[in-house]
Amino acid sequence: MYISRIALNAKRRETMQALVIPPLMHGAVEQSINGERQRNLWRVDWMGDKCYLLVLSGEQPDFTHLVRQFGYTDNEQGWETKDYRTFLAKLQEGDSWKFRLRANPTQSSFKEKDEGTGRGKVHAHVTQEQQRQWLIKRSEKCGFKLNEDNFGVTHTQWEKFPKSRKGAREVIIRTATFEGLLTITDIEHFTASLTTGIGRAKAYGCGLLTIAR
Amino acid sequence: MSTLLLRLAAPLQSWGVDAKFDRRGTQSIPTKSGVIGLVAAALGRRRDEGIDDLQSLRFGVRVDQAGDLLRDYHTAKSVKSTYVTNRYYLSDAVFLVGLQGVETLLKEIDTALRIPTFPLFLGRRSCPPEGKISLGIRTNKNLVEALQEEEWLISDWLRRKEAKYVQLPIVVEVEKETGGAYYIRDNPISFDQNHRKFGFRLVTEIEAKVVINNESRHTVQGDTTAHDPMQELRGE
Repeated sequence: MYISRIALNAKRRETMQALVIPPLMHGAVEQSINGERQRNLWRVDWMGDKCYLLVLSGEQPDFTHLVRQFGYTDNEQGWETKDYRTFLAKLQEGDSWKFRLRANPTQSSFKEKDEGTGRGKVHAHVTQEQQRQWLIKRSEKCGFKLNEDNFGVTHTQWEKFPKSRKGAREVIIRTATFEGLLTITDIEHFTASLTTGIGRAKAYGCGLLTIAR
Repeated sequence: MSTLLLRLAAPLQSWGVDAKFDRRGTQSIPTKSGVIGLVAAALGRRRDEGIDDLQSLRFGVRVDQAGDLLRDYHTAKSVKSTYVTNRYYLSDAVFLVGLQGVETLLKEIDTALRIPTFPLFLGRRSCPPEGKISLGIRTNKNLVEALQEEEWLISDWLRRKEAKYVQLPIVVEVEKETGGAYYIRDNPISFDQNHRKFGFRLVTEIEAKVVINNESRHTVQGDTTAHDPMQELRGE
């Protein structure tokens, strides 16, 4: 398990495109990771005016091509990769961490059925309060506890982009970025949510939970 | 040399140069003849009185909001038949106009614009101005400086509709023929109704005023963070 961070050059045309069309970024991430295909998680973070791509992968990645495509080509080492296992091993129940999660909070309807699958039709949670409740509801299963006043939605927006280059189908999702303080209650479940992500739209840059001091 | 600044804003403005017969066009910016006429009206000058002193003022315009071109399809009845005219207006435009000259004259104009003798209008009788016209005198500033330095004149709610990066075009009078300068026939010589006369004057577009519009809704609300997940892993 590896976590990597790549500095993106947001002024480049290719990068601007990939920032608004997540399937492009997802494709580039998938290309950078060899071995058996797994669910790799990624997220784009802005720190001030600097733009970073964060990737969590099962195998050791090689971002040479991705950096050439979206990054700064002038510096030699365009990315850093760290082993995530050693970090995970240090986590303990009862610890408190600052977290950040960009997710796609949704709920499926009882009444309306989706024509394709026959299951309940999926609706996005729209208001910040709905989104907060969504995360609180999930937190127990995910192995952590949230305090009502210690976390919040820092950003939320509708995103609309084509599903593929050729297809006319559009994907419309609403993303919400959560930030705040969490307490680990169940180490096994917590490690699982760190490594496999939370919620839907994981191919579109959602679901990666990260923690920091 | 000082400069008097005017704000010309109204639901409708119309600045005709070659407006004759059935088609009454408008320029995209105020004409010197139109503005000098407005000043003369404020001063209470009759049409047959001299305007040489006003005409010698150096004239410049900054486009704070370009406005939209509006066509008024207009029918009128003559003795013989009904005929059609097209009258053009600028709607919702805002201009900053500068008049450069000696301070005594500018003071006189400034006072007159606050207490005008005749009613004022922007290019045509049907276009009354909105708000105060005179913004006061900028002492010891030439025309270009005054137009460059003045704040953007539109209201906050309008700002929100505009782009994040805005350039306000500036057109000023010049004396010599230089690259980019062109002639326009709106230099008033006489407003006398028996022999109205307009001459040519030389104008040029100078470097536009640049506004970074922080009120704009086009500003991308950043999803920025201080959260650094790599920080804990540094030691490994």
